[in-house]
Amino acid sequence: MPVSAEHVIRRGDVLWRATLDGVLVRVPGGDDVVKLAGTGAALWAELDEPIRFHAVCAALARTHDANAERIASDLAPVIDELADKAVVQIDR
Amino acid sequence: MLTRPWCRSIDEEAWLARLAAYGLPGAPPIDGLPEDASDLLFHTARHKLIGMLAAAVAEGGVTLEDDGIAQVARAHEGAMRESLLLEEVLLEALTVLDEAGIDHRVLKGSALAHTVHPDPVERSYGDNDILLDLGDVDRGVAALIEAGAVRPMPPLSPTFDRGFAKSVTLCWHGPSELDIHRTLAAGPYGHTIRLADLTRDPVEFALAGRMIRTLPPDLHLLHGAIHVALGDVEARLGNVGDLALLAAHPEVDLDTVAAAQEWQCAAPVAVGLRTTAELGHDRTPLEDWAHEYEVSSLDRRRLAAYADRDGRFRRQARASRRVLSWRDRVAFSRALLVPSRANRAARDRSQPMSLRGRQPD
Repeated sequence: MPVSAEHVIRRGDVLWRATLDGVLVRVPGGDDVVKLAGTGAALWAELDEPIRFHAVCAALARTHDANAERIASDLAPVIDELADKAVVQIDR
Repeated sequence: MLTRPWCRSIDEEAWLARLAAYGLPGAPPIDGLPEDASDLLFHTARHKLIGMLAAAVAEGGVTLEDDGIAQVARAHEGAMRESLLLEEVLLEALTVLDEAGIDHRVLKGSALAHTVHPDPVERSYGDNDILLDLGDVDRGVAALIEAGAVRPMPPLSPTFDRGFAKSVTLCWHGPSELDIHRTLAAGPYGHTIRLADLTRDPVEFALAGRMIRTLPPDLHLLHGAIHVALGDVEARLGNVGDLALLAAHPEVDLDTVAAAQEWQCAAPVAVGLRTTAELGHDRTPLEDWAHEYEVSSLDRRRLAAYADRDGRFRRQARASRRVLSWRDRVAFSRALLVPSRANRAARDRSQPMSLRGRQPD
């Protein structure tokens, strides 16, 4: 199932901090810290509760005054990668 | 008056004090960074204030040029990366203690970041501190060592950790320091604190989906004041700022003084709290109490045991003997005079450690 049809949320078992230019996320047992900057940090702010992928894209489109479809095409691989790194969870 | 020799000027010290007061009622405004801010940023981090600076920049409390913001952002990111690593180590340590059935309270840095500061990004820290019931100290240390922690300095005697030590220092994951506390202070005041009080009314905070127990704000304040008064010869302004934040906490009031008095710790608590005057914020009733408190001659003698670095442990040991029971005094003195072989070997000493020696864990 494509990510566009699913709910996305931050994983509850990660450690994180906001910084002046992004968000740092550390997955316990992981190798390093993942840094989310720019749209990635804005994405993190949207994921504090389960949210549908299209709703995230719509929210970011509003915030950044951008096209939601363009954001969706950029964001889908990012979310997949963050899910692979156990930073976010995609509810299936 | 310049009170910290590392500051280049009174203005520099005053700037750091204003930063420590950021967000407190009546706190004075903070100027921007000077053009060459590298030294000041170094001292900001040294005083555990880089998080306060980042928060002030983010909220417009400090106005900086782009270069300045970039410098602060880099320094803050480094501190937050370290804090996240320490929190991972903390979670591992707490898991080990949980599996051994040992109750615990997280002290200082991580706990203050999550329960006292409005946002944990404000507080950076450099180690982890965990308080155990004195009956669990030996078992807790053994469980952590079994799990991979390293104890650089073996105990002075088999009963020293649970009987007399302030804390046991362990290393885990390289240089990451983990202090397992039996009490909140070294020396005589560490022996007069009523340890059973420390486990009452725990507060919880969430860390990576787990609920972690720590002290309630009034006990954090007592610990913070004692630490500022007795811990470092030169108090860090981040710790002083924590103290002012705790004194203004809605759950902290003058009743806190009663616990300090019951612990025979009113003097160090008052001395610690007086340091917040440097911050220039609106004083709370608790800080007013501290300024009016008259230190007795007995407490002046006890407090003298913590002054200056040279001979500090010897003075603390002598002062500790005076507050211990006769039986404990014998065991304490024996441990200092004839430390364990492992301890001696670790210290690379051939002669018995005496009261002239340096401070153990």
